[in-house]
Amino acid sequence: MSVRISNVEKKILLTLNKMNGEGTAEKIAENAKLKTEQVVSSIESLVSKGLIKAYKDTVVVYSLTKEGKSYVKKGLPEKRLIKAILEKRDVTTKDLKRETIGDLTKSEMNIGLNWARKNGWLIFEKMPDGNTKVFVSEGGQSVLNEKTDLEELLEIIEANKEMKESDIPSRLLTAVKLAKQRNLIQEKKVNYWTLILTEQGKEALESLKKAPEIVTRLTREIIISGAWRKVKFQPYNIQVLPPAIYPGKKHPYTVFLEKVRKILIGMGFVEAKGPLVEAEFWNFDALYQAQDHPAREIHDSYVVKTSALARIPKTEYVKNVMKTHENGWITGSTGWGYKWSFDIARRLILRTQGTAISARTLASGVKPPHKMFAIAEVFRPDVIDKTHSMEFQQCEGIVVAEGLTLKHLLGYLAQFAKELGFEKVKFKPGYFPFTEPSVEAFVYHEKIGWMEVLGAGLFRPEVIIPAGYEYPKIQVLAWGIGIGRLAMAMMDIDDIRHLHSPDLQWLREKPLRW
Amino acid sequence: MPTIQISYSDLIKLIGKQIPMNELKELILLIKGEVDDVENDIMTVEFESDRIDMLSVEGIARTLKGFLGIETGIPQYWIDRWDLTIRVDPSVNSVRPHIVGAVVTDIELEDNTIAQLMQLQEKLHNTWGRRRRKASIGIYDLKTIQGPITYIAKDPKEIKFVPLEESKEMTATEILEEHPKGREFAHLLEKFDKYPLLIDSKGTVLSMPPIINSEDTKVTEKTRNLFIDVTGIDEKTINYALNVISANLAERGAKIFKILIEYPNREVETPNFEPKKMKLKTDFVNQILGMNLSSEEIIELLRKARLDGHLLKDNIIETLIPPYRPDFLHPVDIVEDIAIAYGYNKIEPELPNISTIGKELESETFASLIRDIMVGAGYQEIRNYIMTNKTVLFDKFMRKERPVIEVENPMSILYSVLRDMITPTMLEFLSYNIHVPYPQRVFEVGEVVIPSKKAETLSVQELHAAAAISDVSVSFEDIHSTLHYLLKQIKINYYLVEKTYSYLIKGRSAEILINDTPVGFIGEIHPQVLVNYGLENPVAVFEVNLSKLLELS
Repeated sequence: MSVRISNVEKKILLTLNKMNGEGTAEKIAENAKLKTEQVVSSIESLVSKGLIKAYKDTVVVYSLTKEGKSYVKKGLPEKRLIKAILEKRDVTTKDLKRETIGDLTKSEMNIGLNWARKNGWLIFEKMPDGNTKVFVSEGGQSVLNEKTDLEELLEIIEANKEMKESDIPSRLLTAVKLAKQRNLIQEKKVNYWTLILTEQGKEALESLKKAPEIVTRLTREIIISGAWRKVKFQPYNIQVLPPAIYPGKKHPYTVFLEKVRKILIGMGFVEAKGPLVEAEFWNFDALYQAQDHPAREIHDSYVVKTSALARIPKTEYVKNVMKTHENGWITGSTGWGYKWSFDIARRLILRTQGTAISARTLASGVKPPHKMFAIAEVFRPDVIDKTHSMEFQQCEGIVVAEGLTLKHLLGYLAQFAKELGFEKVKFKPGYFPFTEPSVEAFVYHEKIGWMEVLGAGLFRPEVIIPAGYEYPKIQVLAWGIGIGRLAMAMMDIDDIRHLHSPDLQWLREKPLRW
Repeated sequence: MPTIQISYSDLIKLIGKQIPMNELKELILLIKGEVDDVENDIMTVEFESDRIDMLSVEGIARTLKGFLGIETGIPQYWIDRWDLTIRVDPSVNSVRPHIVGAVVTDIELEDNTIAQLMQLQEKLHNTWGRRRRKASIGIYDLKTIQGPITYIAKDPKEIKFVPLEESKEMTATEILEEHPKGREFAHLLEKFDKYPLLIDSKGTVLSMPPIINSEDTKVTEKTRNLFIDVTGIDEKTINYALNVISANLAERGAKIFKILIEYPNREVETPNFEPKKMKLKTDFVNQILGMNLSSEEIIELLRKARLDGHLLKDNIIETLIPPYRPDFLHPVDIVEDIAIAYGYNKIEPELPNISTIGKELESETFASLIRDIMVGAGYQEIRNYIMTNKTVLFDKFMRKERPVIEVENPMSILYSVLRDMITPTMLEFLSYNIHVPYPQRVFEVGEVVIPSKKAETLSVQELHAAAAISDVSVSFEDIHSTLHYLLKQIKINYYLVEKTYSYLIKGRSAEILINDTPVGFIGEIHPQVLVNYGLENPVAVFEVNLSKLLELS
């Protein structure tokens, strides 16, 4: 197996090879057009792969301090001082303490005086007036015409920016000490690397010459130049999580409702809809719900704030419904035995049951056989919480045909449940004012257990006959599914408010079920 | 559905057969009930509102005995006459015209009997009696009463007695104003100038229906014999209530006695335990159930359902219905009882072979397409409630109030009107999400409701689509490119006309038109509106009327 070699490493090895197998990091960097740091940081990896050997040479390097640099520019203060004294001639120690001379600053005066005295460049002579006069000695005078070792040292370091200790001429070593003492130079320890190409390195290089270039991104350039034929793609770490994206997405409840639609259309049902603001007539009376039925009380329906009544004409159908309520009319029923009020029937409410759409569909005179379904928003006065909502959806369905039976009703319900993925269904008798016999159905959910999901039945003759159908020849199977509750089970949520979630991040992240 | 509490051991004793709880639960499901909860011996059970006879444990036991085949047919309860008369004074005619009554003796006064009787009374009041309006039941200790009893309506000022659980005499007016039961049911009498009253021959007040009984006639732990009355506005309703109570007490072994009700022009005896008759065709039963039952099998099932029947002639069965079952309006109601007796769990589902062509609503197909395009454009679908409030629709949105559909009885003022546009509810949505990563691109396809005097239900529904973008910086152009893309994809040519909207920034808002018909608006939300919703980032929106697009395309 060949070792993996990065592009930088490859450049280093190639350069080393050109340099006859040996070179310093600096030199390699210069030849390979890399930064020295890039070369140095690759050393460990190259050594570990056995491609090079590397030797480290730790050396002391000197460079000038700020003070040192200023002396290179202006000259040493002690030399500038004696020059100034010579120019001024008559100078006393008092003068030197009180004032500056020449271009020296106060601190330079002090430093200069100190070192000039130490070097024996000044002579002090006591005068009769009590003052001490200052003269430049011969040595001091001669030094003005030559460079001191210190000056020479500072200059060559400045010329080289920094210098290894070993590169400084030995005659200047005393000056180095002095410069250090005077804080004119600073030292630091630097590692100098020498890299030597190993045999293994040479072999790797041979195979590298044949090996393709490694690229991280496929670019237009690589494609059109044909370089993609030679390059190798840097493999990615596919375990790393990708950055999150939130592009467009359907609401999880929409996805579920679309599934329900598909199932029912597949079973031959025609979709219908009806008004959200509904007349009590369609919501209750047409469904043979007596006008004093508890479900019609104010705490079970939202009443529209208006004194106006629905514009329902008093058709034959409406009259038939009235007579059926009052005395059963020709339906064979006893009726409810009360005085039916058209005004109550025309009161406006928010639809409380999707069955209102079934009533409208029947009254519109659909021809048997006919199958209808509706996904209907319904409203009930309820305080919204985890399990209750004032607004929810029901999935209504009717089958209008000759010769339908209770067994057929159960057949449709079982089939629908099966299409949704519920294999186990059970039925119990139920009660709805508009169906007889009535059924409630439970489906078995792996996590929840038996769930009551729908009510169903055969429409009563009091509902069918006023709409103009021949009963019992024509039967109407009807059901209403609490589709929201089913959606919750299938979407694995336990809060009904999520069906209309105000939480954007939840919507972005919630997995979809199909 | 009414919920009652019963004792498991009491039920088992009444059935006379040991049934484990889990089995009992399944059985109750099959006779139209549902066990909600079991705590030690107490079961909380729900029954369908049509089965008022099962609002106490005795009725449940009676039904289960039939279902299990322990005792079938209509039970023959012991019934005789008691020398007691209720004289109905014509004064009650305009207030609460009808009364029935019964005497019940040999009550075994264990806890369960009285507790179940009280519960049955209360449940009948609330369901069948429509909160006492249609039927109000009084139960008294018989020995405190001396017949005949007079049912009369009197001036409230003349009525004075000690109401149940009180120590002092109160006038009728005081009872309606101060007594808890009086206040609860005052609305049933307030509009009348005379209140109904039951008085015995000594002048003892029995009760003031439908409000309260007197303390003098109270049932105590020593009571063995009862007088029961039911008053109301409809004779049929009160008879059923009386029959249910009497029959359920009889099921426990009490003796039932008829009494005489004397109206000014007629006399009746109650309770009347005569079964009702209804003809049932064998064919009809099989037609509804999809079965092939013989008349004999049907009669057997009728008996299991605690009904009865006999063959009149070929194919016609005369069905007998006991007096405590008001839920038979049509022979189809008998068919359901036959199905229940047969066992819903034994009926085999069967899919008929009926060929029809399924079809989606055009508006739904269209809505679905719009959703697909908007998702493709990078927008997250949201679904707000159609119900909202005027603050969201108008105040926060800085829109002048206009008529919307409002409900008279909201449960919360947050949900009191139907929205007439989506955008305000969409901004409300964004206000819940100010800390969710941006950019936020959302859309909704949903219904709005607009009042309309011409429409049948005085409102029209429109399908709208709205979209919003919010980010640290958002421009008109950002939302315009989405609208442009959307409408181009459905091949609709539109144009924009600059228009000022109170909720959009002036000069950055426009009306969307198709062939001179306005179909919506587009623009950047006004900063004051953003502040009103607590939004900190700019928002650009559009809303179009999809119903109109459908019409025009």
